[in-house]
Amino acid sequence: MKYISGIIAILLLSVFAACEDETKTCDSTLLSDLGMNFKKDTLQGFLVKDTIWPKVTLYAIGNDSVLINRQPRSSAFMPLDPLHDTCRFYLQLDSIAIPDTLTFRYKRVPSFVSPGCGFATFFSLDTVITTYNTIDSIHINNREVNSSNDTHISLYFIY
Amino acid sequence: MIRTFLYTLSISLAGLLTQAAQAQVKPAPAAGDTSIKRTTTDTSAPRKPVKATGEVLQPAKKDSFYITGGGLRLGLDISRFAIHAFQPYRTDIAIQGDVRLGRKIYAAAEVGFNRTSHSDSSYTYKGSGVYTTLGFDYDFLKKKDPNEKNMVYLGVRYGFARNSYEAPNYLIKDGYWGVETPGSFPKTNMVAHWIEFTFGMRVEALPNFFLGWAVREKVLLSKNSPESFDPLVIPGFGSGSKSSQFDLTYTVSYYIPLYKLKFNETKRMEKLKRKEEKKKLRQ
Repeated sequence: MKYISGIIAILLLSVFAACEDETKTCDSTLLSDLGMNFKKDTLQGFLVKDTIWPKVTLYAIGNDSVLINRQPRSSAFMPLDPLHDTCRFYLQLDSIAIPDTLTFRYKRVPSFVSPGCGFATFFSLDTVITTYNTIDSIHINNREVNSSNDTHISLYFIY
Repeated sequence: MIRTFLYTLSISLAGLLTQAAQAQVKPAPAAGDTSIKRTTTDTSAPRKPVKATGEVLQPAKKDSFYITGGGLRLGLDISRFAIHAFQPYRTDIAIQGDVRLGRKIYAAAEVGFNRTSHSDSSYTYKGSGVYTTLGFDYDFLKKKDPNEKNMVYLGVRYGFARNSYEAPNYLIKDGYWGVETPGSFPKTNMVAHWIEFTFGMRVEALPNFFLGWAVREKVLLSKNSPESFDPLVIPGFGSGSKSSQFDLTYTVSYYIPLYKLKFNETKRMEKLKRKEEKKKLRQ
């Protein structure tokens, strides 16, 4: 009998949780950005470590806004073009390093995120093409670019 | 015809006469001394083993039955109207019914309708669908009067919903590219299956007029909505993006007496007697 008040309180809380207006709150991120991290490859793949580049510059070619401007970074997030099935990014890792160009080809999928957040464009990566000026190799970890904040590609460097 | 009539008449008369003759036969008078004497020698016939006829000889047990009313209890779930106050985009109507099958078992069903309509700056949503649940309730209330219709029950149901929904327009805003992508999602049909466990009670507030509440936990078994567009609401289940859902219902129902149920109480009474005897022995 002594637990009855607790049980009733839990039931009431559960009922209120069940009655929550889901259209009022956006509990998941709407950003479906492509995540990228940098890895330093020594000993020909036997020793791979995360690395920080001191002055990273990143922006989409054809877009005036700069995503990252000469900042130290070990990772970056890139919003893919929601109007086209391909987009290109300029990536310079250091002020003295030769810049690289990353080209992404993908399929766009408009998706319902949640009643509170509405719709967002998710992407399914098809191909990633890069120049190899500073970049040694590239690895696709996850082709589905949605609101899960994953690291979709890893860039490997040897220096 | 006359021959047949006479023939039957004669047979029936013959039957009557033989019965009358048998009735007239008297036992033969005993000759001489009729007093009982002890016999010195055993004159009885050799005894044959007699088959056990104890069961036949025992007085026949009388089965005890009770007859109680059975019928259909139909109710309207008024908690659905309260949900509309919390979730204005939902309009639900639910009708519950149950019939008594056995002493403690009831067949229970629910049918309902849902309409969902939502509109804000990023999207518009329209949906409607129907659902049904079928299952059983087990009444574990110990009743003093066998005709009492109150119940405290545990139940299990299988639920099925059919829903069609669409997003006539949506707008995806992208801050970096500075674009707004309008679009629409066409009308989509989906079905969902779930199982629900329920606990509740129904109380006869007025003759044949019941009030009842129940808590339900619903577990989604499957749904075939497209991955990129879950419905806002699955009729009867609840949120379209969750795999389990807790729910509370409050039902106002009316009992329509339709038939009689006869229950054999013999075994139960025997059990009770045995229990009482055991109690007495312990004391």
